[in-house]
Amino acid sequence: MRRIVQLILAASVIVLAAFQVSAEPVKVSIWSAITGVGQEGKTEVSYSDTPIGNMVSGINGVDWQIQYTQNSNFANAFNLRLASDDWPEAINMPSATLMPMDKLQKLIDAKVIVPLDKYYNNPKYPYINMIPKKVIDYWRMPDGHIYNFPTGVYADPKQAYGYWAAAVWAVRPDYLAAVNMTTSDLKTIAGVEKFLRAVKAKGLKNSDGLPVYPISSGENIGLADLILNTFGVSTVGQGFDMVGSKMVNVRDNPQTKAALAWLNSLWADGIIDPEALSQKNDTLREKMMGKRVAMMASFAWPYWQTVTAGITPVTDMAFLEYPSAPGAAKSGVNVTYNPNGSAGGLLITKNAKNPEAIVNLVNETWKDFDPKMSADAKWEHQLTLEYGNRGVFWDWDPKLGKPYYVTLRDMAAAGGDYNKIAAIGFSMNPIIVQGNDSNYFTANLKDVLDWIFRMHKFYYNKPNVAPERPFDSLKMPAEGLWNKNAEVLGRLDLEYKAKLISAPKGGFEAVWKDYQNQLEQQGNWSKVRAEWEAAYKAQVK
Amino acid sequence: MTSAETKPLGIQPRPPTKHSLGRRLKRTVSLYGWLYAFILPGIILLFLFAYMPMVGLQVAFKDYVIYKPLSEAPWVGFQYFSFITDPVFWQSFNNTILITFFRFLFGFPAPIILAILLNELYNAPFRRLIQSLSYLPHFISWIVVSYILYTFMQLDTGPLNMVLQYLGFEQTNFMGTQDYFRPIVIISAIWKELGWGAIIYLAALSGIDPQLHEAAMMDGAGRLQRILHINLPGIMPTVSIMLILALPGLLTAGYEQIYPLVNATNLGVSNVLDVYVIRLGLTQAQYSVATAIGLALGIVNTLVVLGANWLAKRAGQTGFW
Amino acid sequence: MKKKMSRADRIFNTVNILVLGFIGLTCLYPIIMMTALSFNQGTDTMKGGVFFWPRSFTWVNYRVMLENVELRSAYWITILRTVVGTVSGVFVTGLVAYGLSEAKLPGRKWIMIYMIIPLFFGGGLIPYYLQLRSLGLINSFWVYIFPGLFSIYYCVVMKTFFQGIPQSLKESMRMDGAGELTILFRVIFPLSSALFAAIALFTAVGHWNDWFSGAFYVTKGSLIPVQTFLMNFMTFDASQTYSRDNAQAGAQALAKMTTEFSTITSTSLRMAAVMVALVPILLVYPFLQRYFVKGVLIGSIKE
Repeated sequence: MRRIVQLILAASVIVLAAFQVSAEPVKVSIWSAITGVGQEGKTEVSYSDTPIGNMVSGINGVDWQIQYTQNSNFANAFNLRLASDDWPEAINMPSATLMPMDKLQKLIDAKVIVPLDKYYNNPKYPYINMIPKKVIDYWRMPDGHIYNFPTGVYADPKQAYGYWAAAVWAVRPDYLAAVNMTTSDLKTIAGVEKFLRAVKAKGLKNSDGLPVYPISSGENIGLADLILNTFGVSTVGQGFDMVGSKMVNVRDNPQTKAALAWLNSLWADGIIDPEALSQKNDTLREKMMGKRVAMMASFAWPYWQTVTAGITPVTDMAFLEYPSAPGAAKSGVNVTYNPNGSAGGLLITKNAKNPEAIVNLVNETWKDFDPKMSADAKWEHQLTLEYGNRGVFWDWDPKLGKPYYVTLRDMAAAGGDYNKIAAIGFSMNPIIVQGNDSNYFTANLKDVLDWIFRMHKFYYNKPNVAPERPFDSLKMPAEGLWNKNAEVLGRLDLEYKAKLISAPKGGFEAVWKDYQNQLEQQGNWSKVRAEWEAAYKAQVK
Repeated sequence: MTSAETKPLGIQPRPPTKHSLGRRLKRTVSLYGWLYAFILPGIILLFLFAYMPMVGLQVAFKDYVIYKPLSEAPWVGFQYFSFITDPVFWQSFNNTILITFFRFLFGFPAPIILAILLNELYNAPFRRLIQSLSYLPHFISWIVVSYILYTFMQLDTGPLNMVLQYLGFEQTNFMGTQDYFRPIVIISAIWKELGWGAIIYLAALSGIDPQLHEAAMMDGAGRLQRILHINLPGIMPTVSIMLILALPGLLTAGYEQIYPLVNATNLGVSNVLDVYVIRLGLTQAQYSVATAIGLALGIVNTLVVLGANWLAKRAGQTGFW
Repeated sequence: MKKKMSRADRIFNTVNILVLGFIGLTCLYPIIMMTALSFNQGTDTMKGGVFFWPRSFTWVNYRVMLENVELRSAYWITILRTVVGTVSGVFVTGLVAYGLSEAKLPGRKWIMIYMIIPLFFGGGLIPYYLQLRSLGLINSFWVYIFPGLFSIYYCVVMKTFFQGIPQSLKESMRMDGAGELTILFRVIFPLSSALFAAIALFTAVGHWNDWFSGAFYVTKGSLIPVQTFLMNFMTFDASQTYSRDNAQAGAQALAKMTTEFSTITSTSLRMAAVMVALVPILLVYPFLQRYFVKGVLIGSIKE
């Protein structure tokens, strides 16, 4: 262990020399707007806490003091900060929270963030100049200024690095074999149902004698969303998608009803984990670790992070194409990315003591960007943004066709195995401060990283992934019905997902009617929809 | 209450003489100056944390933006009181009343009964032990209680379901069934405050003159009779004060308790007023609507308490003033 | 007295003991369950069946939680606010109550009305929040202290108690020329020490268990108290909690990594975290308990 640390220190000296950064990194506080709590349940983390993070900040010149979002709820945290006027020096706002730019506008109105125009077109920051004009114009606010350093920009959206493609269908091969089926049987939703029923019928138990559930769900019934997608319903953005020649919302899409009715039929026969509708992510994670769930249809990221060495919930699961479902030509969209900044934006606040240090770092990360670069290179650029500079923290292996992590490799070569390296820390986001990566704190880090990478590669160009569409985040009037009712409608959706799935036999229709009524009564749905349609007409040709 | 005949601070009464205002003031200050000084911090703190927010109620009638001064916000009249026609508000209102009513119905007498039962326990060490244990839940925060509940009632591994299975019953996903939400909230609320609430009654019970009991026993009164005719009346003043104090709680189901228990299966019943107001006000930053709701609830609460106090006084019990 | 126990009495006693025993058990069992789970290996807990004692004993859950910097900081905040908040709160409230317990105080009626109104009517959450904000208390440690410095409810309780202290005591001291402070410290406080202990306990528990103000009045992570930490910790993936200090501690820790640490699960860590937050209370509990018994006894002497 000591040897490894020494090695890292030695490596960092070389690296530092190579990058000719001599000054102490500047401490810059930043709010990571989307991440709930960082590793160790921390709400504040200093980048230089870990050996690797220390190294990264040595190169970056910025030692991020990351503040995570308390309270699990972004809107809540945002409003509380706005109310208390408590802002760090910088904010990392993921794309999902930047679009539509009403939050950005609020930050401008409250004079929290500063315009960044002077850093663009500035000879001091040549690489920032390389940001395509289209992208800059995209982020220009109505007042004519730009307040955002976008991260994760793609000249060609089709070839974007698909790190966001993580909504998976996966199956445990051992249980598949146990009921004498193969992955080719799971190409249709009927095949999936056959498998699920077979697991139930077989009464599989795990090694501790606890029952195996054919399928389960994490928090907020994520399962239902994936099933909706599989039935062709898009669940991204504001919930609208083109069906035929008309924009139709999830709530009005007949396929929504079909998908939930399917789940209801499974529930009625006890196929679905009875705790699926109420449990927290980590209850499911523990079940998966105990091999108590045969199949997963979910966003995968809550489940690949675990410290439990030897047992990761996901790595022994095989991912599948989305099964085809009756009435759906292809799966609905559940992931969009914004080519003009898929990872969101870096905002600098009025409290920044040393904005130049931040801008320097941004400048560095744009160094490798070339609009004409190859597809692989674009993945590379994304990796640069996410994991640090190429050649230092990772490199591309043409033979493997995937990135590997240089520091890890070097340390591994130095006599450590992945298990030992995992203990040191793996925290290398120079700018996209997500705080997740150091959570790959698992003894089989290699397996997990490989699994994640294979997964991204597998799903990133599937129909469930799409570049952000113009209608995904329309600007809705601030005091309008849409904004006023959004929370209630969202709550009704979740409430009735649970009620519809668990409706008693023959009671589904009645609950569905009730759902429609409540949408109307509590959420003013038809008026809200009309407001959206008006906005659609005005904003999208 | 001290009767009006008591002499002021032990100073001999003087013949009433005409004093100038200044002299009277001076006398008052010299006599009571210290007492006023003691009271002053309370007055200031109440002004800051109770009266100023009342001034802040004007937010309900204004178009308030958080990063601009309140004085600049335009008046909009009763526009934000339209929540009264919002079914979500009424849902949360009904949910609240259903929880608080039953919590009150079972939870209010529970500590009184516990106190009486404890009082009747002659085995002192056992009594002390039970007393000690019964306070314990009060020290456990709602967050921890929520985790106890989740763990205790989990399927396949939780003790409750294991016992049910052992006894031959079906396992039940209590935390994932809407129908169990209210009972869980009410029972856990009673469980948590049962022992703690009994303390004040135990104190009142021990304040009852033992001679009363002795005299009653001489007259051949049984235990139940003594409980009914000595103990209960003896603690009645405490009961009536606690009753009035409990009434404002009828509109408060308890955010700290309910929020950690919310999940997809109970959204329809867990939307109580506290949760609703916090969602509106702090989560969605709709400050004006949330204030308007708070104002309306405050008025209702006040009327309830005033009514209760009036009733208590009419019934010959200790009122609040 | 005991000799004359009738049959009905005996039945009553038996039932009474059973009922109270059951209540005691329901209060004790969760602690037992959490203790067992917190000392049990997480991977073993997943198998179910751990109800009373750990099946495969481990310290690792506690090791991880105790080395968690965030929990330590939250602990410090909680202890600080509990001590400062309780001492100052009881003192201020006690002073006010004493002032008000003097029946002849001119204007007392008006002051009482002033004090009682907020008990029945308030501004509600949002105006309160906005007031905290305009006082600069948001994101300040003092948001835990100042608003709770004076409690109307405890003030009324104390005032009632003080009024029960024979007025003659006070008056004779006044005749002897004693000042109000002297009376307060020589007569009132000693006579009501048990009451103070009781109210201090009420206040302290309120401080210890409050997660709301930590969640809404504070956005700085360094200011959150233990309960808010637990809230965050429970909403989020607890298995991400891992002490890096351990990893850096050297080869020994690394060896542990693959064995003991590999047994950690969210549940086991949470139970350890909860126990860490509970243990101080459980430790001081017997002492507080004594105060309580005393308080009850003194309460019975009055009048």
